[in-house]
Amino acid sequence: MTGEPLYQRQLMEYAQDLARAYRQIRSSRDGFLDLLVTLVEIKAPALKGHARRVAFWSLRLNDALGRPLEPAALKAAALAHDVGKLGLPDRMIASWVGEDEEDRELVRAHPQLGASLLEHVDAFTDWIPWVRHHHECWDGSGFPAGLAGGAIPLGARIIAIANGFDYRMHGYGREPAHTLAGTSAWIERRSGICFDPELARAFLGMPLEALWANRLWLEEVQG
Amino acid sequence: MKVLLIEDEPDMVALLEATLTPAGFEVHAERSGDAIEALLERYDPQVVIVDVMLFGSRADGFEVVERIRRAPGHERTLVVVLTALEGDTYRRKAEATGADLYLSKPFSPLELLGKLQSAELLTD
Repeated sequence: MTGEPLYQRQLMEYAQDLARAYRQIRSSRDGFLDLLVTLVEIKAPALKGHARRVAFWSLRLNDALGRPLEPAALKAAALAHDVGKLGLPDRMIASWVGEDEEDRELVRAHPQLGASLLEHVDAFTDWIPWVRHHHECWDGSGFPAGLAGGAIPLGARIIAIANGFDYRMHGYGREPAHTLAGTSAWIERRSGICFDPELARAFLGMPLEALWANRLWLEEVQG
Repeated sequence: MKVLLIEDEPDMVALLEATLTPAGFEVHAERSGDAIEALLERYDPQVVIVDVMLFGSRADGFEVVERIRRAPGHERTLVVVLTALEGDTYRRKAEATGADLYLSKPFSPLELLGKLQSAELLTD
């Protein structure tokens, strides 16, 4: 009664369930990342759109480098990079820079806090270091670990440039919005200090004006 | 959580073991339910999955279910009936004998896992 045709039908049922489960996992992951981004935006309205734009610029830079990183992982890390800001006191969200040393300690702790939150999800393990180290500097002057050069994970170095670019273009905290030329010059000045010089060169080599002007990209990163 | 699987088809046993063991269930497979009371005593399962058509057994799956329900301490054991038989008659018979879940082969492994995991929450 449970001969071969039935067994084969049962195997087909398994294959269909596997596909269904895979779709559910993928959509749960995307939904969870959306939830994180939205939570940060509710707490810090000034950051609205920031995570998605950082994801966009990270993916473009990754493409310009010949896609050394898996795009889905990089997009996830970029979307989640600021989740640790949920742990900052409300008074610091808008200004970002703190008033005293204690506040500055909290700011320096946010990447580590974000990484710790994300560690609750096994599927995120591969890219959590990119969140933890996205404020490291090429010369070792960043935080939280003070890593330098190639010791900083590539994903973190990519997100750092995308993050800096978006903050300068949009303005954040006490920093006003800058022009594309001003932002590009700023990246160039910080190349080798805060940013990986090779990545900074690749970033500035991209058609930034065309990319910036093309508002369709928002749909791509929101999809 | 312990699962007693009564199934005479080796391929199906292998498939169910491969489904349930990685999900954290401890599976004990037996080919016949003739000595169901002794099996319940030996394994003390929280779940019994039983195939209705058991070749080489005197007892069919429905009888096994009835005997599980009469066994002391197993009134609330989750009983899943697996069958290649389709149709409401068999489903009603399974329900009348006290089965909690009736799955026609080919069944959805996700549905089976979902039901078992819900049962696990209830026994916690």
